[in-house]
Amino acid sequence: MALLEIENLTKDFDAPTSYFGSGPKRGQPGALIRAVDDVSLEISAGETLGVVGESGCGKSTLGRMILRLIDPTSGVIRFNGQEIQNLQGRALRNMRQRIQIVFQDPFSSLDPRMRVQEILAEPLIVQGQKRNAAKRISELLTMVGLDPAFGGRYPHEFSGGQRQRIGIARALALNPDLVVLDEPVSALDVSIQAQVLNLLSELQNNLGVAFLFIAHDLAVVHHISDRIAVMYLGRVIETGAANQIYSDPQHPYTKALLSAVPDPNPQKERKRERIVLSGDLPSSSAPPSGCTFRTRCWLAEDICAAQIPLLVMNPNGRQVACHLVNARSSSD
Amino acid sequence: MTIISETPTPLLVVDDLAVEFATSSGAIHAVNGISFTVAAGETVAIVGESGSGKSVSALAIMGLIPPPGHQTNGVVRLASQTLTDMPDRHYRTLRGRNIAMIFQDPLSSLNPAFRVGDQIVEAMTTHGTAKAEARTRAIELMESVGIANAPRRARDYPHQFSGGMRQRVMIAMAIANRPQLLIADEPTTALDVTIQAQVLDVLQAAKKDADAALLLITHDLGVVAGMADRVLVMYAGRIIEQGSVDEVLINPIHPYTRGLLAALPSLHTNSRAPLPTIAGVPPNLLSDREACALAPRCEFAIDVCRSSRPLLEAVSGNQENHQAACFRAHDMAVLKVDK
Amino acid sequence: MSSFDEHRQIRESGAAIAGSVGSTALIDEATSELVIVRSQWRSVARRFFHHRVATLALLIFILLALAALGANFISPYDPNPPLTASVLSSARESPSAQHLFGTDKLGRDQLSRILVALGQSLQVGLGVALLSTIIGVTVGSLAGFYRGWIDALLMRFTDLFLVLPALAVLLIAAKNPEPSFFGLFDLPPATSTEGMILLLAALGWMPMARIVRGEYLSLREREFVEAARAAGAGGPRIILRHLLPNSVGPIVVFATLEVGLAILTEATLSFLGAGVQIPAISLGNLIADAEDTVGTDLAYLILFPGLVLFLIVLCANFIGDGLRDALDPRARK
Repeated sequence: MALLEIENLTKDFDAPTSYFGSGPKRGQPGALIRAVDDVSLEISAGETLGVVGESGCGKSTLGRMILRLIDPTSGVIRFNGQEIQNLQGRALRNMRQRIQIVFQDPFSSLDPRMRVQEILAEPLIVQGQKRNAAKRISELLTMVGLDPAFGGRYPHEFSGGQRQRIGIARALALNPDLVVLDEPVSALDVSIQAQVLNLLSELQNNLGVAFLFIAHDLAVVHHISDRIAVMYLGRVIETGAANQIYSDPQHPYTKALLSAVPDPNPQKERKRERIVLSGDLPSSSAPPSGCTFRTRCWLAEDICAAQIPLLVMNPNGRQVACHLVNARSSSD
Repeated sequence: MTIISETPTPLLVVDDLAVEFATSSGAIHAVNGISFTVAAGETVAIVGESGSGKSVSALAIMGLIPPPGHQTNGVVRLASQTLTDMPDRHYRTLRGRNIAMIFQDPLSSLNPAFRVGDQIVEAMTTHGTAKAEARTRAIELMESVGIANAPRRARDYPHQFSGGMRQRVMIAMAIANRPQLLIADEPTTALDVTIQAQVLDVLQAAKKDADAALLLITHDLGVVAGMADRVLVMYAGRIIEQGSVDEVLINPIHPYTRGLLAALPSLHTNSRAPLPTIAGVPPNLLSDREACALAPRCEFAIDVCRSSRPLLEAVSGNQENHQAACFRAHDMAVLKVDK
Repeated sequence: MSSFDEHRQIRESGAAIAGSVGSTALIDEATSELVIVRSQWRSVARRFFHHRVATLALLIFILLALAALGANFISPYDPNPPLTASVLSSARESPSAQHLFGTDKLGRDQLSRILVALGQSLQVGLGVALLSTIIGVTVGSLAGFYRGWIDALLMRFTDLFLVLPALAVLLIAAKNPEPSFFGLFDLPPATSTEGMILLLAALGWMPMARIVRGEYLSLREREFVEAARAAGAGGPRIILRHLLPNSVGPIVVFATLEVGLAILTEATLSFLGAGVQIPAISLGNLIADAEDTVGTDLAYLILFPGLVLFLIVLCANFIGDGLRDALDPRARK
């Protein structure tokens, strides 16, 4: 049994409605923004699932739904076999011990008015584990590579990388089974980013915690993930083992995404084959019919506008949501 | 110290530029005596992490250092005109006409209250183009940066454009007066990778169209590799390595440049092995000690690194194309990188 | 346990497990230089005292407050003496060494009377600021944190108070000698100090509620609040430990400005006769008493209470300005 199972998870947000102007009225088409659309995923204990996609693809909303910071519109979230999407009160609070989050912005994720030891004590106090809190706090600081003597300082006394370590320590305070990492290194400089990535790998090896690693940087996700899910406009369009997806991407969007990453080696960069997508991401309040990627896809055919491609295991053993890829592989 | 460029008359000459920010804790030495040139039509990239002084250098060239910062030393020359100490009135006529800048965040650099087309027109009329002519050219410019339906889109406001489209508008505005020098400060950092690819293409084409030189400020070594002819690597307010992109990025000498390249996770290998890191954090810029700024973080540091400051020197047999500021440059040249 | 002990304990238990997990390369980043920053309140104080005018204003305000507190000891005369012939005989004396601010039309020492009035003003000013802050922060907190129907209800309630014609309400209230809350319990009359504080606070808390609500709405989107929710923290904890401490700046600034405003309103009401009633003394009725002296030799009777009123309101406003700059570093030049 997987640690976390998500089935057909969907989230609609109300679009900003307008009483006077031209915007959509409540209840009319376009009044809802579908941020996450029919997503099903699994994470096993101790593994890292990377979720990649560009801004607006719904990856952060997905992460926050797993933590129940946002309530899903429909679908099932099962954690250790227990459905958690409707938990309330004490049951919800107990569940929160098992799933934690690390945020992107090392500046807004720590309360500027609290000392580091208070920040780390908060999860312990809330969950009634006040006993030995002082010991646990210094243990946590040591674990993330900070001097326990820093507990009395305020967040603004630390650099971005150090703050992100404090954020990681807070997420680990309750010994969770799963940590959602929402762009944990994208605000950091390259040299600091590498330090934090190494810390995360080390912590996972030592603690056996599972990660849901959300990021837009494809190289970073590749480095840390066992499996990858690629999202586009609220849907998972391809998923599989990290090495498989990066060495042999199937979905046209995955191909384009990978080909758009520049290579720091100038000679390789000049020889790089590039697929430059035309146009922008369509609006998620009025997504294209059928395959949402078809408006930017250079392979699109009639069927792509007519039917939504499902994420299915094709005969080549790959899970891709593309009519053309799946048709080709079944005729092979 | 003046760097001799291979081209006879470089377009931009920056000589021993230094910028300080006065704070209550003392002066922050943001830029510490950097010298470089940009030839006409050339693309030069400045790379470095936050606090390296790359953006401040760009603002200094534009004469736009925000207070409490001020230029404490050095000279900036553009095509034989000395910009340093130029009266603000003259500087203003140069900005937008001879030098144009593209910022990271196009939303805050466009005025939300005016139509996009009018803002491009204004960029031209301020510098003496007739209004009717500017109107026609604004539409042409928007088309040239790949904005579909340009005549209609010109009447839209900035918030009606996506991030990538806004950056195209900024590029159109920047090349409107055919400047000699374009300065782009992290032009694609706020954009998604597929949009970044589009915008970089547009920037490259616009630069060719306007026959301008490009000074590209970025932290992304991949962008440098794809765009630049030459690259300057900055650390703690100084240039620590410079040369052609091929030399610097394929055969880096300075331990910092090597560290940066090694710390990048690769798109192609997934070893999950620890990434090589540069231990520690960048120095604070309050003190300016007579030492190599990287020494406390450098695994190759020897005594001399802690007691005196290395100067940029040619890397063996490569006078023009590759220079590094490292006492151990010769040893490093022998110690090949395996990347 | 003192913070020192706590520190030492943390250090020791940390040393015991140090090296068990963290790798040395990682510790490097952490142990190398930290930016030296002073503790937050100390740096707020430093910035405040950097503001010369605000510092001077605070000093004057404290001196005035001390003078009002010690009025009984430093007053040279009884502010409301029985009107004996000897008192009446020294009426209308110009300022002199005996009577620094002179005497009024009935021979009472003006300085002693101003000191009492000052106490009255400060009581009303501080009382109203405190009470309206409590009401405003409570309403704003609930509306800003819970949003939804609670927010809608509380904000309509706030709007209702905002559209009340305050002056009319105050003047009407002053005519009602024995008010009660719909007959449920007695309220102090609007012309007593307590009544005036209640009334002015009831009419003055709305801007504070709106400020606090606005702060919360933006703060609750910040990731540290999400982190607290993810840890299982409930509403009261998030409000008291995260949202309120981070809104202290605007709350303090506005409360300070409210002090000046309340003092001014009280003086206005007493001037109009709708405030504290004679024989009680207020800067307002001192000024009202002397309103016919403008342009005469007795103008000092209106000058001194007027100056004190002006000074105290100005001080409150400058302190507010200084606090605003000190609490919000971005607002500085």
